[in-house]
Amino acid sequence: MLLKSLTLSVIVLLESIAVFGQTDTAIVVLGQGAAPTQVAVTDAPNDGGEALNVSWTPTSQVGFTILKYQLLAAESAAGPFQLMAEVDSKTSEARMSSGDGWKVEPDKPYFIKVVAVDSTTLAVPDSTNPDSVTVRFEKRLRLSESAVVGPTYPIASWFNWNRLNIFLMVMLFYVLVMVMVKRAKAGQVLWFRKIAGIDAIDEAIGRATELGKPVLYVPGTQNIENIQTIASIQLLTSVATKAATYDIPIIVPLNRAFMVTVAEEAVKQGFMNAGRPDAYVRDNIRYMSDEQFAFTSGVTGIMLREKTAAHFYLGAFFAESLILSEVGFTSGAIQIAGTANTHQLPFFVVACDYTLIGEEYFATSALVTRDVEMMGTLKATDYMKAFIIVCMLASMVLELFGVQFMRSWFQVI
Amino acid sequence: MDFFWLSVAGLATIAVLSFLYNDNPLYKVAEHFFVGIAAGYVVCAEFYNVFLPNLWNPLTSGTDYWLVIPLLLGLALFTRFSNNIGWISRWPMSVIIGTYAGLAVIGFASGDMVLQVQASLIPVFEPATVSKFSGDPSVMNFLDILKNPLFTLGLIAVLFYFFFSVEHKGGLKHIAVVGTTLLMIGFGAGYGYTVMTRIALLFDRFYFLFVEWLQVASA
Repeated sequence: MLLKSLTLSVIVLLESIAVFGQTDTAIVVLGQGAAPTQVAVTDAPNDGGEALNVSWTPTSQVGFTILKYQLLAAESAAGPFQLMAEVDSKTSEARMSSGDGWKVEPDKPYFIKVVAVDSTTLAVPDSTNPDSVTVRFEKRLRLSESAVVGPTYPIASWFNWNRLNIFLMVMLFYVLVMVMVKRAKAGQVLWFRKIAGIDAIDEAIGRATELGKPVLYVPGTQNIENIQTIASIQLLTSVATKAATYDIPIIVPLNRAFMVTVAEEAVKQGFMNAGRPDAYVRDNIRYMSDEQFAFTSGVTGIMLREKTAAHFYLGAFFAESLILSEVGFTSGAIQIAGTANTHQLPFFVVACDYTLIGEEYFATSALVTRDVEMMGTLKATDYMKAFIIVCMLASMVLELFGVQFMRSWFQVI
Repeated sequence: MDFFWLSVAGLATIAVLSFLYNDNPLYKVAEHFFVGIAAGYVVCAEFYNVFLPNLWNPLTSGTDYWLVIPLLLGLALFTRFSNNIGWISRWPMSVIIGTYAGLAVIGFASGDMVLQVQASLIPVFEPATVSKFSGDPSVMNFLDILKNPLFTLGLIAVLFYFFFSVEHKGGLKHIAVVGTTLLMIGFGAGYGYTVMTRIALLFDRFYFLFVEWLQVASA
């Protein structure tokens, strides 16, 4: 009796180990028991028609421990359905935008079904012994599919209402710019404080004139689509005008082929402004290389071999800033730098005689050219900064009383 | 063969490092090779990775006829070589500058301006830091309380430095000086951090020269 009990206990123990020790297999059992109900598919608002929102009600049947939900989509009700997303068992809604190798596109029909995945233990005949009546216990995944819902068409929205705050901020800035430009054009004097960088530019060109050596102007290492490069080109015309006035050559090395055309126009315009179009030398606008450090080594070569006396680094710079400014420093040239790339400013501050920090660079561009549009924009940015400072102070006070309205309003979704 | 290319890379490294002594013929050779090879490489890369897949192939397959517009704009850039019709090259320039400037406005507004303003709107004191200080009144916990007000006031001072419509004199000058000082502290930290990473790059070069190439040292 004792031996029989002991044998039974061992069998039960082994079966338990067999059941719980097995991992989930890829074999699935289709069933409707745990299938989600009330599946609703709607177009995701505020997007380009690239997503659908899916919600469902989990099964009310007891005895199911849902592991996760799978979202499947097809372009026809008959399928084939593709897995688009998997969400955890506590979720009853999801945003569906892309799947294995394909993505949701606007104005296409989509049929959706939600599959509940749970685990079950099944007793299956022991196939290793056909004569036996014994069964084995296997743990398997069970998929319970909802009814197919659809078609639903994703629609591209004209307006993303989640970004209303950005729209209002941009509009506020536009209105300020328009008002200020209009005032400037009407003859109203827009007053700005003196920026030392403007004098520094004159001083650098004066030094090159005294030495009779060329001026080197590097308009950053980015293409013309970069706003810093655009500002640099404006300044290039002014610097070229001054260089032409004093009959000093200006060398402009470039690392974007497209920039050659732009820089040629700017320098030529500068020489024409100075009344010296004959002094314009096209070969001084030089494409070096698109590769960052090949460009850098080429520019340092110009510094050393052509003995440039004044260096301007104005535009968007990256890792080359340290090498350019250090080699320029060792060559003994007077150096003026300006960039809005904050990570590069330390190297310019250390190695250059004068550095235009961030927005000072844009302000200098406006004040040197005396362009009314740019001056109006500069004044508008000042008002914008004042508005931001007021917002910060107001938010500080409101947060003291637990009001987080301003922080949530400025949130970008 | 591997050792041959390793030697080419090693000699090129030494040639570039020789600039530390002076501008010399060895450095000049390395520089000209570097610039020339990089320029040639970029032409090939642009042709195969940009021109063919983005313009030529869709156009010749007959699916995207509208691509003839960027093709014409691109060809217009080559009119620079003519003195008579060089003015045509200004058209593609204006299209590119105008398009990218317009696109940049939205990108900056959402990615920089509004996002940075939102990140700067913080309460004067974090309630958690105050309760932490009341439980453990140490100096560090006290400084933790001051984190938010110092950040906000510092940010206002820095913003004021970039305010061009007001003369920095009298009491306002002190605010601007605080702003400049904070900027310089930030630049100092950034400079030190980057110099450290550049020294790591130098060590990487030494590792290549002495361990991988010459094999006179072991890792």
